[in-house]
Amino acid sequence: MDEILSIRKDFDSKIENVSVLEKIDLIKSEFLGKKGKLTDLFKKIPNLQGEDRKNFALKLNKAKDHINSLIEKKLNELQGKEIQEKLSSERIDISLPGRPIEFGKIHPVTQVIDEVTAIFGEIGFSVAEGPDLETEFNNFTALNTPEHHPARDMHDTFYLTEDKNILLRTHTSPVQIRTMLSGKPPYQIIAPGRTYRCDSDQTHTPMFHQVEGLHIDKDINMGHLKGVLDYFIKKFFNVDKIKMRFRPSHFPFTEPSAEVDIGYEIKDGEIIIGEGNKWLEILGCGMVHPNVLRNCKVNPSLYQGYAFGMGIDRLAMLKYGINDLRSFFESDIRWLSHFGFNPLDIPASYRGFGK
Amino acid sequence: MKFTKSWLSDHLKTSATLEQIEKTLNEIGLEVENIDKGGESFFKVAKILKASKHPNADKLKVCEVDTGKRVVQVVCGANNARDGLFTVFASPGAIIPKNQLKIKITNIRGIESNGMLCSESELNISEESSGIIELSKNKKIGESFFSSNNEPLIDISVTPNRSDCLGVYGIARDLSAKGLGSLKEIKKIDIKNKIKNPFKVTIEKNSGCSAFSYCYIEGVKNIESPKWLKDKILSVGLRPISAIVDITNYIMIDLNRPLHAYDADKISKKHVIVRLSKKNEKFNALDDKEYKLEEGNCLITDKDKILGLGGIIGGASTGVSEKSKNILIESALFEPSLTSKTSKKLGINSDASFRFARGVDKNMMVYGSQLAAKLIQEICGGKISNVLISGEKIFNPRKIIFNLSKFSKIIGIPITERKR
Repeated sequence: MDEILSIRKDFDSKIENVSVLEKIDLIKSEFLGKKGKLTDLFKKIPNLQGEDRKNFALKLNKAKDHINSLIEKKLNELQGKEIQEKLSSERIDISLPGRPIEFGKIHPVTQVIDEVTAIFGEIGFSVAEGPDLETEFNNFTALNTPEHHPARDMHDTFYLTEDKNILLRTHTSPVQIRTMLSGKPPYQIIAPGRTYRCDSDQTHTPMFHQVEGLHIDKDINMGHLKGVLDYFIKKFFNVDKIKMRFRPSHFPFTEPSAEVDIGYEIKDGEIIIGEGNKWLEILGCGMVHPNVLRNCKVNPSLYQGYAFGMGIDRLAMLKYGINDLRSFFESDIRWLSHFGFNPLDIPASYRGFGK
Repeated sequence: MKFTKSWLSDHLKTSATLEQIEKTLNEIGLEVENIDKGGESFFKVAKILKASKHPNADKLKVCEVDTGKRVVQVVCGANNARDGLFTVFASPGAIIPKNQLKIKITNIRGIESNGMLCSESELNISEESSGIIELSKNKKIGESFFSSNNEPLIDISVTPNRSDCLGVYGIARDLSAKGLGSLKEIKKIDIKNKIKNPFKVTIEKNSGCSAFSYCYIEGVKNIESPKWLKDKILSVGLRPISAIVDITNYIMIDLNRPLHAYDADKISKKHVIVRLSKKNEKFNALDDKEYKLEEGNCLITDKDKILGLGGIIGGASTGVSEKSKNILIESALFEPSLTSKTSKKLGINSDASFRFARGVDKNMMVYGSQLAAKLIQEICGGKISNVLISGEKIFNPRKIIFNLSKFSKIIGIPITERKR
């Protein structure tokens, strides 16, 4: 009797102290193995008789059940512990296959805005911005285009209020007004942004992009304008020589005004910028009209300068060989992944602006 | 603004080529948008040799077409395409006037088509679209269909500050100033045996009209225009209507001088009043529409009715027709901003309103009506009255001060003054 009890006690204390999985097997064989302590007692059963034999066997079996259940319990406990430890120590599953990485692309319009900004930024222009919603004053009146002036007809304007006081800006030129009204001369800014006109076909979309340039100081003349544009076009199109012509034109907010054409030709179905005998209009410019300066509280007898505006979408189409303006705004992921740019390719002069 | 080289040479003596003219126009700020060098030569007289059913389509025919140089295969959907028909063939590259579609060699249901056979409506000749054009058999195969009218058409875009170039004469004047030739002098018009002008025009104060000149012509016959005038009108893409209307259109394009001709018998009491409109007045215009007016538009009226919207459009009740016998020619000056405002408000964009909104040459006012009267007499007969003017009569030349040092400072090129 006491033998069984002491074996149970012995087992209980041993199993209690086990903390490693492998040791359980050892304990199990120590008590229940072929030569185990409890197994040895079982061998004594045939020698006993009557009630004694019955009681002894019963107690032995109970002890065996007890041992088995404790081993089971300990096994579960330790296995669970081991899994927990493994999970926390091997949080990264190096055996899983890698997930594919998807890159977003930079839209050609964004890319061109970045390129234009980088080029002008290096020669002293800072970037100014204005809202898409404008007042009629900033968009027209301050730009020397009074009500009923026929030049207003050239812009198919989206008016947002019945009294026509609020509109979607038809050009980026109101940023000139905002810039001049909010600071003192000199000014040297570019202003890229969205513009809106009620027009839609293969070469016109109701929303498009322009970049405005303004340089006002005491002695900024048309020669500076020509030089800056020549520099910009060469950098932007990555060419050494550019054929460019200034064609007299008219904008109410500049005097004199010019439209600028660049030479191009088509060779083997590809457009080559800067040579050839065909002309392509790319921007409008001129010397800021004294009335505009006056409207912005700048004294035209002390300050003068130039302004220009170009279509960003047009520049992007030319440079990257995109034929239909509308495709810019269709959000077709296949188109974007074909014409888009690597986000890490940030335009900078030292890399050159060619692609 | 569209014009031809031969029209330009009415006013400009020059030996310049079309290319030189184009280059010079661009240099002086009159941007050449397009020169249509007779794209019409893509349209030729052709003969269908054989028209057979398309194997894969019930309504289409496959035609063997003799285009003069060679025989081509064309797929055609017209019912009247048949053996032996003389018609108009548009070759690949042609642009169909009606829908601006460019003709290409295409495959239509498995059969190659090398061009198109055209209907009158597709060529903007008439509204006829039920079948292809049927020409008489004495036409020469391979000849250009538009043979009488293939002079290059120069199209320039005129910026709002250059209303002086909304007439061929002004363009010639500017080209001559650039040195491309010499400007032919405008001949003074001397009208003999004038009758007395029986009309009276009253301009109310601040009515948007600063001067109104008018000439009365008695006993005209508003016939079809003679060939030279029709050709002129056609050459710039307009449609000839009747001699009197064609003459006013001709002078508008030639001199940037919009005119209006009234049937004089329909004006009551021979008295014209120029005044501002009142709210809710109604007016039936020449475009067969009724307009409900707001306050403050410039109106040409008589005692009973509205004759026209000043500088914008004439009225239906007093328009000239082939029955008109006595007419009144109006040559007036309308205020640019009011004209612009009214035409925008009512959505009427006429050739006249476009010009008045930008400003016209005041000195052409009287000359325009004299020239119209003379041409009308030559073509339609009749007796001409003296020209009367209500409002401003004398226009002093304006001086423009050109500051040379300011110019040099703005442009950046030093220029010295040289007296001559």
